[in-house]
Amino acid sequence: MHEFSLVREVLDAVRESARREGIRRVSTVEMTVGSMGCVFPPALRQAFEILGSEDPMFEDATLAIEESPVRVRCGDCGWEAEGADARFLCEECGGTDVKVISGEELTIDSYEGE
Amino acid sequence: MIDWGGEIVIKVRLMKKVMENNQAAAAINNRSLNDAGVFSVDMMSSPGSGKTTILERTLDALLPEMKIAIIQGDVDTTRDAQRVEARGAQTVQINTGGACHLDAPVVGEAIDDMDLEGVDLLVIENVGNLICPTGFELGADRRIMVLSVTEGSDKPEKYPAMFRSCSVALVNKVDLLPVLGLELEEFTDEIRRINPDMEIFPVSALTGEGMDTWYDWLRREVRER
Repeated sequence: MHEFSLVREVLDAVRESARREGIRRVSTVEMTVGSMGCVFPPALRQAFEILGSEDPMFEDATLAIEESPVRVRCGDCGWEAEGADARFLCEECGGTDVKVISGEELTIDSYEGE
Repeated sequence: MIDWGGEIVIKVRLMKKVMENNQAAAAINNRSLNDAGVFSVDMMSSPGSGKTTILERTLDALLPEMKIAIIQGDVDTTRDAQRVEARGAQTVQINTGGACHLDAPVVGEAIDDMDLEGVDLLVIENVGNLICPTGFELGADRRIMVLSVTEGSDKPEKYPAMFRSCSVALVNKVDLLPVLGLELEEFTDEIRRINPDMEIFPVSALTGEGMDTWYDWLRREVRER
């Protein structure tokens, strides 16, 4: 359950920014979570609900998560695959220079408040 | 319904990576260890893969020729730390209090508590878990994982992020392969499918099989530091 420590960092970052912007109440926080990032969205939401309820700024806030599937690309021939088709040995040329180009994200994209 | 009272709703774009704090602390750890001339490894695995037994054997083999320090992450006990401390290595125990991984700030505090003078090798034994430690870099020079053959060869595919975050894998308990009716290649093939560049050492911490290759690797890394 490392999601709790992650949410603590998310709330700290949004709180710091919101204070600078003069925002007192946050309504939505939008995040992108990659499927290879070892983060479980339902656990993230639950942690957000529990930790958010401890701070009036986040009392009514919801967490919107955009899940980003893993996407790989072969550095030798440019072959790409996504989700369950992703492999780390190229299916076209057999090359091993296959890199993850998305699916490892864990970002706070934006938030809304007043 | 929330009464916004006619106030203006503002949308702020942050585009901030989570775990930046951890990354920053990891970079500081790596710098302090490098400055002190210490080669460091972060060892990860499932519970019961044999990390601590490998560590005990490694200490027996290498302590006569180099100074080794250990940071031991454990959820709530000191059992592992007692086992390695008995070997005579400087050991700092971190109890995570239920948390499933070590993070860089906590390891940084442990490093501050240590006497790094003359230390050649620092081994950080992470909490046994194939998921949570993945994203939390600690600042070690190399991330190493231990996969024991009793866990089955499907683990790399089930935990690809962990297997891709490491550059060295010890496949432990190879003495049990005949009992399990499995071939070593099943494990090495599965690992290479997920991480083609992985350096793989098949070992048995119990019988000592293959351990010399692992010791030689550590000796070389320490020498080239």
